[in-house]
Amino acid sequence: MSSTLCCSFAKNVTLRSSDGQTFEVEEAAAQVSQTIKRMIEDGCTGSVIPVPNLTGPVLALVIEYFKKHSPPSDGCPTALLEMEIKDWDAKFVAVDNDTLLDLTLAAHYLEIQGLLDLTCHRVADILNDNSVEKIREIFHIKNDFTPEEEAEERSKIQWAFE
Amino acid sequence: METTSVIHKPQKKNQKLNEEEDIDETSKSLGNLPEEILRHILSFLPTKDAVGTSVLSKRWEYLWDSIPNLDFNLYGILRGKRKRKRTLFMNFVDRVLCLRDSYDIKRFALCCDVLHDASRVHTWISAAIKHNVQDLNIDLEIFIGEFSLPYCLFTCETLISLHLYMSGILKLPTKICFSNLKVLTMDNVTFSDDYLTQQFFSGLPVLEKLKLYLCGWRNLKVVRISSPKLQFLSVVDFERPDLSNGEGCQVMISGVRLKEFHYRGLLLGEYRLYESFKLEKAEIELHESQADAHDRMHKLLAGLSNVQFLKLSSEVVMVLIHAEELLTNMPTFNNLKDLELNGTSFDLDCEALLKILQSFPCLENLKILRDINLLSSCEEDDRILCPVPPCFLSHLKWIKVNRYDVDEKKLSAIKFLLKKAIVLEEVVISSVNVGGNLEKQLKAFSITGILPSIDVAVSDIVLDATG
Repeated sequence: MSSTLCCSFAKNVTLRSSDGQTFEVEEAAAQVSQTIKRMIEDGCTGSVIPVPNLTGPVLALVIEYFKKHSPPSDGCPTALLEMEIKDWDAKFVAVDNDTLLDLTLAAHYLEIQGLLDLTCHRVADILNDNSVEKIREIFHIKNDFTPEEEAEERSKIQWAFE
Repeated sequence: METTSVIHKPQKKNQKLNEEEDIDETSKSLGNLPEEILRHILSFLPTKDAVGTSVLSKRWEYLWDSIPNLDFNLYGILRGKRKRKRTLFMNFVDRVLCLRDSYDIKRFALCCDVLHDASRVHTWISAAIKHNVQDLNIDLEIFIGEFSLPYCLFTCETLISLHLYMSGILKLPTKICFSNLKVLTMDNVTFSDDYLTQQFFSGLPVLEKLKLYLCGWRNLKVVRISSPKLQFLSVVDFERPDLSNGEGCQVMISGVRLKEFHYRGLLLGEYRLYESFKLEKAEIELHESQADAHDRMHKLLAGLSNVQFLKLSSEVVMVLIHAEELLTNMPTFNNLKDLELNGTSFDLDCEALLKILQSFPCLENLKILRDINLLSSCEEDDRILCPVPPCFLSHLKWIKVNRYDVDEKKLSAIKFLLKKAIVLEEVVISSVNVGGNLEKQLKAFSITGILPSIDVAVSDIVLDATG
């Protein structure tokens, strides 16, 4: 484990997106991602860490998330801080649906459980608030049932649509 | 915001794309996410909505079969004809459990009536247990007679929390061991067999939290609760429609680790605590002061003598008026620092209250949530708070009276209280009509002009504490 005893000299790492953009971020913050944490532990810190599954704009968003969620240097987070982070999280995922899916995939790839829960919960809320037809439209899901098949599917779980 | 595809899809090779060649590869479809993510998304949805996604497309048809929490509530839908609604509900639960994959069920909640479907309900609960359920919430309405839960429930090793609401007699098996159960709520359950009930309460080796709500102890003489790790116990005990509360039944609780105890009700049965050395907090809320409950109340209080924080309703004091001879045998509450008195107005010159206060020699904080009054007229003042409770002379530092409604008798009551509590550091009085801070209240008191002498006393004390 890297030591962060010297606060005035926090270690940075550089992350490079699929389209070649580079971002510098504090090592401790980047370790919010389990994937990056493993890479750092494997000694990738000297060079640039490639993040080939994320484009620049998405990586920029993820880094914002890192910064907000990096462990506080002075021990336990307070209740107030937790509340503030919760508010921030809610605003962070109030994005257009395409970006929401990008963030979900990024969280999955980079193994950021907190972000994955956050985005999946947001998607679930959207699913919950909309009709089947509307959901297909919002998230570009192609209905491959014939009308008869769909009617049959519905009848089997009629309770769900009452 | 960027709208073109900015994410490469690493898992695409493993993904089944449902032969959707005509779907635009660049468009972001929720259906293109890895299955793992989709299942995770569904885990945040209520059961009905998660299962409802099966009509979105073929890929979604059975994705819900892994959702960790299943919640079936017949009363979740208000509209529709009752019979049709029930049939649809029953079919829905059948289907969801029948198609369930081997994924564990974390939480299973079922709320419905049983009617003629006892065996079906039985099967559902068994299915949850077979899927290693950890948190089981069963709410079976309108059931008359005896109902047996699957016997495998009583030896379920994965179960951590069980909430059972069942208005009927619970038929118990002979082998009972909830080896991991930490939280148990029994709601409206009637126990009827001495031996098996004892087996039940003996089969809870790691139980930490127990709530007994309106449980009936039919024909039972003694129930012993002795879970060695029990920390929290709450009993709610009102009259049941079948009158099977268990008059004459002794519930004996041995709580070596018990930290918190709550009682609310009419004290129809007898509840006694033993070995409750670690008790920190107790709340007793009696709802009627029937004279014949005084003996049971005395026994209940006697078991709380190690408590640090105690909250009593005014009915507790009222019922103890009938137990004057018992009160002289009250144990001393040497650890008690905080006392809260709740309910209707307390009479400072009530003998029972005086006896109670005398049993609390180390009381530091006294909070009266509702008014303090005097029964007698002020002339008999030498009888009030006499002999002075020891805590008034050595420990009582803080008194708060809430919802104080100013009148002459009540002001006298306050006056006595303050006069006798000689080590008092702060008194906080909040009136019904004057909210807000103490300064305002004090002003209000002086405005009334009834009590100039006390006003000085009060403000002196307040200044000492705040200044």
